[in-house]
Amino acid sequence: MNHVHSLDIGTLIQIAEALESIVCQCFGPNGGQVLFTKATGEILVTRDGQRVLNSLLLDHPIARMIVDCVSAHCSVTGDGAKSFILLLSALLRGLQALVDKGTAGQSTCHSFLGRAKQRSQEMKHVTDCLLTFQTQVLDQIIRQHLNQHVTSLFTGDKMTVTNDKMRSIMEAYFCGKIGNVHCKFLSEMACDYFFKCTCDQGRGQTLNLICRHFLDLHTAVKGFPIGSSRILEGLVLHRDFTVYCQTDGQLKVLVVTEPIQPPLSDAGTTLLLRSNFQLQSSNIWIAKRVEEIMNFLQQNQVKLLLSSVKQSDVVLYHAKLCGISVVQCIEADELSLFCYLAGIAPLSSPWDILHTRDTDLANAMFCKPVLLGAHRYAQIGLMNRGDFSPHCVILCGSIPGLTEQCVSAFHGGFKMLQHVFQPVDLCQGQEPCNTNPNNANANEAHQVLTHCSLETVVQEDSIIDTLNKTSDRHDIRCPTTEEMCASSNLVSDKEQGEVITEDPRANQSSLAADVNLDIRNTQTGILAGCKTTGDNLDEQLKQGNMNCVNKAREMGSMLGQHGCAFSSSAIQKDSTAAKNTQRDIRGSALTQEHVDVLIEAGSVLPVGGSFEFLLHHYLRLYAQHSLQPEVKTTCSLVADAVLNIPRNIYNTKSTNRHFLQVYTKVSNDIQSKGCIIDGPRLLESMSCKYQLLVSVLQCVRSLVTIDSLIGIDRKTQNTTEGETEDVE
Amino acid sequence: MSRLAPKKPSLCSDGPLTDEVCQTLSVFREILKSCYGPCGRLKLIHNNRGGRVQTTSSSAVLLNGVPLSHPALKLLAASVMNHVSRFSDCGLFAAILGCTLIENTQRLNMASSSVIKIYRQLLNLSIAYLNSEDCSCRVKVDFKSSQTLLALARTVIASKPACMLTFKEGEYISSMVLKAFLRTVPCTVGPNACLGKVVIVPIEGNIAQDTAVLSGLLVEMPEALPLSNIKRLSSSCINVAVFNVSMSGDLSDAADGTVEISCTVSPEAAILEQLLRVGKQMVSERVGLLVCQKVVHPVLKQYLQEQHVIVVDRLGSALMEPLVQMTGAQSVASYQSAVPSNCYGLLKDLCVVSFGSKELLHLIPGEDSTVCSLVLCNRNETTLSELKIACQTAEDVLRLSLTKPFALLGGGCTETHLASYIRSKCTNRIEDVLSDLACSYTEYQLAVDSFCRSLESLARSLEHDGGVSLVDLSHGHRWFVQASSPLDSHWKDLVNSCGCGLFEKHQSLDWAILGDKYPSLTPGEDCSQFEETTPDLFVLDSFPAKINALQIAVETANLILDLRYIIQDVN
Repeated sequence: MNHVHSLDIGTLIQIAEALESIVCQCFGPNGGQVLFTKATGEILVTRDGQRVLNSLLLDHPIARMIVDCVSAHCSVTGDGAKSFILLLSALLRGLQALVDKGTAGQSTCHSFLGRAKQRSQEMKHVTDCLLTFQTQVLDQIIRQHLNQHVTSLFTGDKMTVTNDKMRSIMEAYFCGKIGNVHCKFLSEMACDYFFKCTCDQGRGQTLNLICRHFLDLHTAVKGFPIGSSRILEGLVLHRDFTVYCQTDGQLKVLVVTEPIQPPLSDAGTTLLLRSNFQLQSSNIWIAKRVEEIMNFLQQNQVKLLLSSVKQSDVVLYHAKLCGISVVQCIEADELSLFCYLAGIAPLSSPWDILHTRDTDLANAMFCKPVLLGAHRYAQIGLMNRGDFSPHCVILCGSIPGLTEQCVSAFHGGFKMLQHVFQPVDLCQGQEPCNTNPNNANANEAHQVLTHCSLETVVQEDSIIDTLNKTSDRHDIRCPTTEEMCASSNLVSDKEQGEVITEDPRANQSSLAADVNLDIRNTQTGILAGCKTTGDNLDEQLKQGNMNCVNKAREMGSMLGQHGCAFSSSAIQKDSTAAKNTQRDIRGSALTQEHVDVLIEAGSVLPVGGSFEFLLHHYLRLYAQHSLQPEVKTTCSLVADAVLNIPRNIYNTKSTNRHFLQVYTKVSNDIQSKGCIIDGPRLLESMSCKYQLLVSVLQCVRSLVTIDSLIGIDRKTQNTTEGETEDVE
Repeated sequence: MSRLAPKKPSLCSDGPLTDEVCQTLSVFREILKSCYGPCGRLKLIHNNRGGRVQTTSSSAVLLNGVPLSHPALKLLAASVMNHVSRFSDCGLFAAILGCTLIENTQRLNMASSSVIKIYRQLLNLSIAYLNSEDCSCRVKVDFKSSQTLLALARTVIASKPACMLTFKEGEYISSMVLKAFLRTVPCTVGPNACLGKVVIVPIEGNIAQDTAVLSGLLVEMPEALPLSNIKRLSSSCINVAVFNVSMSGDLSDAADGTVEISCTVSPEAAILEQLLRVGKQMVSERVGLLVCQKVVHPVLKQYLQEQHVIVVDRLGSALMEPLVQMTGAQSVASYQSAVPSNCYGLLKDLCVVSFGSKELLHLIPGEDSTVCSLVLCNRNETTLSELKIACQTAEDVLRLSLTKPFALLGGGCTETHLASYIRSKCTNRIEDVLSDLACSYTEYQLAVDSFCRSLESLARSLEHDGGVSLVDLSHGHRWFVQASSPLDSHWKDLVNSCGCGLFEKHQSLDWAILGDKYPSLTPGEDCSQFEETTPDLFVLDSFPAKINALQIAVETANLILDLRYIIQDVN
């Protein structure tokens, strides 16, 4: 322990601003690109904020911590790295100004140390306020006000999306990820791809599938302009045919994972050769065996053999004689995707092959070689699998670095969509503060703001008692419920889960009774069916944090067909719903409503800072009416910070799109007409924006609470000198 | 002992296109420019520690051989290399155009994002024009006569001065390449029709006039081949057996298990016995030639030769495919069982041919075979390797012409014509375009001018001897005047025909110096009347290759102009 550096907000700002100055160059519609080269000669072109930040390989521990926070955020939403840094530095600047103001007024402490101590106290205070800000203020504002401005991506009850809306949300995303001139073309291609892949329903599942398997569903081709990118039907296996025999029409496919030719001696056994004749005859037997297998396949109308391993020359020779095409050395991931889409399991031993039933064979529409750039690949047309109609994307670019950019943009785009298609639940991740003296005030302020639209406030007190009882009971039983959930496999459970998730949306006055009833129902249901076990589910449940639940949900809906996994997702939903209700009940005084969905799935807003402008406006309004000085300061702090994003969007010197002009126009619009008029055509997800703000607030809090850095000596090297940061 | 070093932070440099970089870029462009075209200068690539010396003017060798310092240049070179690997032609075109565009844009002092948008729009305009029916700088490839095809081949061969060919030799080589290409086109048309293959056999030391096209394949002479064998066979068709499995008598792999062999057993003898059994079958079924991709056991080889079967082994996998295609044989992978009789292929004849000091066995296929060998001769190693590249490029260009039956006018005429077309399109009625791109009229004109000047400077750089490039004011083609011409004479006394050879001079034409401001012209639409009189020395470029090169060049230039930062990982 040799270097101890105290860390104050000045350093934090320095670091955040250094990152900001890099990131803001690539931000917004006129942002440029970054060229990233490695010593190995690799070239990468990117506009992706996360990629840029990661490639900087920063030295300073604080900078690394920020980058980690950004990565964690991006892995969930697939977007928002650049905005993250912009928001972060704006918030830190605001904090500093606040603290300076706060300490300057008090002249009691003269010594430097005392001043610093006071500053850190002040800081602690403000950050504590920030912590409650999300649950107290932000969520309410989102629900009460911003949700009025939101349009939905979906038309009708089902999750159907029109082409136009899809296009505008995709284009908005691609604008931030790839070069300006290509974003229109690529976003249209992404939409086409999405619509081609999805059948009538089940968009969510298809999205999950695309996100998970995008590596296998795309092919990058170098040497052509980006405009040559296209969509192909079926699945492209990234290997060439070793043997190709032309076939027309439908065909049967066999998938193997082991060599078809039997070895001279198996693993663990020893072949004892006693005579020349024995060797000859065993060789002949092997050849005959291969011939027999291939002839058997020919009789079963197998026209294509897919293998994950290399097959011997003899096998290929007989395949050619029998008119069977062969693709070998296919990567395991690709092959498993193929098997999943075709609904079959791969075969391994020669014995299995000779006892093949018709169900072990996949049906394909066609198979043909396709020349993509320098390589020839095998293209196989497959039937629809559930709601997914297999298609592939071919992405072209002049260099591999450019195609990689397109690929990651495509992939990220679908991740973002996946996120948009999910609703945001209330209070996720953060426990609401139970002991908050500001409750009454917050409520008051809110009532003024909403002009007492909620009559339920009056009723609330009477309900609370009943609710508390239920929540108590629920508290006691909760752990057991979870454990039982883990070890149960209930179909009926799912239905009850739906009841639970829907009910809170129903009439408030009847809520107490309903919740009570439902919890009991669930428990009896669980008790009835807790015979079968699923060990792995147990672990998933125990982790209990929101990310994990989300992931499990994805998985659950992914494997929709498999009953077990499906009920696991149902159980997950159950338990989260139960938790949410529980939380709602506990924090009922805080949150007023018992709706567990904060942002509906598919909520979108126009791009160009609409979210920030609206939030700014409402935060200001809230701050005006709030009686608490702390709430006032935090509100105006956040309100000013969010404006940093539109400030960076409209930073060009060209005449009519300057920030101040846009700001004036928008705030006039909001004040006079209550909404933004003729905003940009493109759309972006509200839930991503919300998530971003929440992540940044958490990041700020974790940064500010650090007061010193301790460098330690391990081995020979000195850890880096903490203070000076050299990113430029 | 391995040392663990902490990762160094990356270097991050702002505003990559500084003056210094621009200077590097212009040096790079000058190097490429001086190589461009049939009169281009050659470059000698060497390192100061000895080793191979390459003389070249082709982009593939140049960009591969010269290490580049700046990341932006690396990006440009990588794009061009990838283009060349797909289309073989127009690499220098793309590289020079990319450099010039970047340099011209740097001088404009405009926001790069709007320039990029304008360039993109101009590119789309150009591509749409070149693909449209009324484009007058492209000609249809006429498959009825060899004229246009020959012109395509000749243009490629002539643009590689490092081959050191005389005019006559160049003509000859072009005709040979065309002949070889035509042989690969199958006679019958069907759903399974595919092009054959030209196998290039380079022979060093002979003069270029010795170059020849032979149908069938040329393989190395098997050692100790008695000539009587060949003479005996030349009467009728020859049965050919093709093996792609090793016949050396190795024991096949035992996978994971172990094989224990008692001392009385000799696996080699056992396998040889099987091999000889196959050999006997070959002899009894009157196989005349046995070809093996890998090694043949010497005992088997000797046995077969005694029985008058010619054995060619170690053929390598590259020649297997054309061999199978040519003979119709099925390559056999198993000698454990009898070879089915439908696996044999047929050859018409066999003979020994000699080129210089080299003797080769010539496998002559039946009439309608699509496989042929191009025996390329040139004086020394460097010129031969350059000629090989040129011939491969020419063959690729000819193949590409089958996918899109068009050719673009060469000799700088396409570039000047395209520039004048863009200028004429972009002066009037462009309000829609301006509002789409969100830029002012002046800005747009500046960018258009920079784009067109880049194209024109490309046409000008075909000239290396101080001559003057002109543009005629009715067709927008490039004409050129020798440097030594007297100053006071009129242009029309000095010029002969335009760069591509489509137009001769006549009274109604008027000229201006290319690169200066010249009065705007609407390029003539009447290309049709000239199609009948195809000139003898037509200069044509590959249509697909040039279009792709144009797109790659503009896209890469746009990309480099759009760069804000360069992050270099120094670990």
